[in-house]
Amino acid sequence: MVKRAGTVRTSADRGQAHTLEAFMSALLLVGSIAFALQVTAVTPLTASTSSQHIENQQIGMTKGVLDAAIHNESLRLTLLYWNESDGSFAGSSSTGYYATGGPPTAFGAMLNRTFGDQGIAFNVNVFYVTTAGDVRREQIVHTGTPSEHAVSVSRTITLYDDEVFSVSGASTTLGGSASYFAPDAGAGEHLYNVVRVEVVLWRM
Amino acid sequence: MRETKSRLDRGQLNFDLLIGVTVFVLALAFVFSAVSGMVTPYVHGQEHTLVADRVATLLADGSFATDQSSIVNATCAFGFFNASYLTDNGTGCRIGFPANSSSVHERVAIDRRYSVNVSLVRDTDGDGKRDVLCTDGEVLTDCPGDTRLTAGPTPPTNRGSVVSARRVVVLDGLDVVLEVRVW
Repeated sequence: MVKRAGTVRTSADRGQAHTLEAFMSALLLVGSIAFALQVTAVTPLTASTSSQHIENQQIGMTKGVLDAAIHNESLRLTLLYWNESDGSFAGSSSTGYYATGGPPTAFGAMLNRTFGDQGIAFNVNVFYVTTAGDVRREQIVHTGTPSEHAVSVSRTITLYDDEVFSVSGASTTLGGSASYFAPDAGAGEHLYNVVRVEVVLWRM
Repeated sequence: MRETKSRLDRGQLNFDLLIGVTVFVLALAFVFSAVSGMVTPYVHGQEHTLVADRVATLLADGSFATDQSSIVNATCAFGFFNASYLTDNGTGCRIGFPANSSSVHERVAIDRRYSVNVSLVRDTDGDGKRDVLCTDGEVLTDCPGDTRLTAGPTPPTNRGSVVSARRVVVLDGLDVVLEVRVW
């Protein structure tokens, strides 16, 4: 009788043993997954082939935009889109650069058309040579600080003394300008300056 | 009497075992589905991005290319979409392609298990969306024209695994986007 009662009690005690075991093993499984996720942290700087693909596309498209702008001279005309009396790019904000998108030129329209509606922000910088031989930077478009994903593409443009500013009605030439951002690095020569136009792009 | 009790005991034990096994199997199923879901973006699409990028590079820097960077040979570009514009079946382009092949796979030299669509697009109506361009074989024209500059089937819109690669090229004096979509 005692033995029988003991058997019954043991069975009743073991009633939930398997369920508990299952919960413990489930906890172990899920816990190990959670731990594995925690130790392999994926940060914005983690190399990923998917983001590399997007950066490759941005580089490929920017090269095309710059090549097209050189081909139809709109990049040169953007550099010459200068307001002589204000000493800044024509139509730019009081800070001296365009802050809301591309400049109001064919090159700017091309940038806006290609990247404006695609959730991509861009800066355009110009690097020029001073008379002392240093390289300085002038911002044409500044829409913010680039992120870690930013890509940049550059093209070189040679400017000459006799080029007239592209603002309508302007007759001032580069050689006769007193306020242009880049100095006449080739004084006494036909050459005015050699500038490098850099477009920096990043996803917003 | 003893047998009956024993059977009753075992009945409870089986029921407990059933709950235990169910919980364990459910946990295992959750783990497998969660892990496979986590690695899906890295398993699928990786090769598709490479295929799309390769096709875009092949066309923009090879088949359509000229001596000037990003400036495309209009005859080769138009001939890619309509072989009747070519007199030499594409062999005179920088990188030749079998223009009279009806399969876009053969023209861009990729395996048939990928679906590919090649289009020349530009925002022509100013709505912020890119539209497929048309040509008469000489210059770009308004659509509908003689030939729509698109090759391959239309990508499905109901699944999210269509990968695209884009290049900006100068065609007929305009900046147009060469878009390659692979799925």
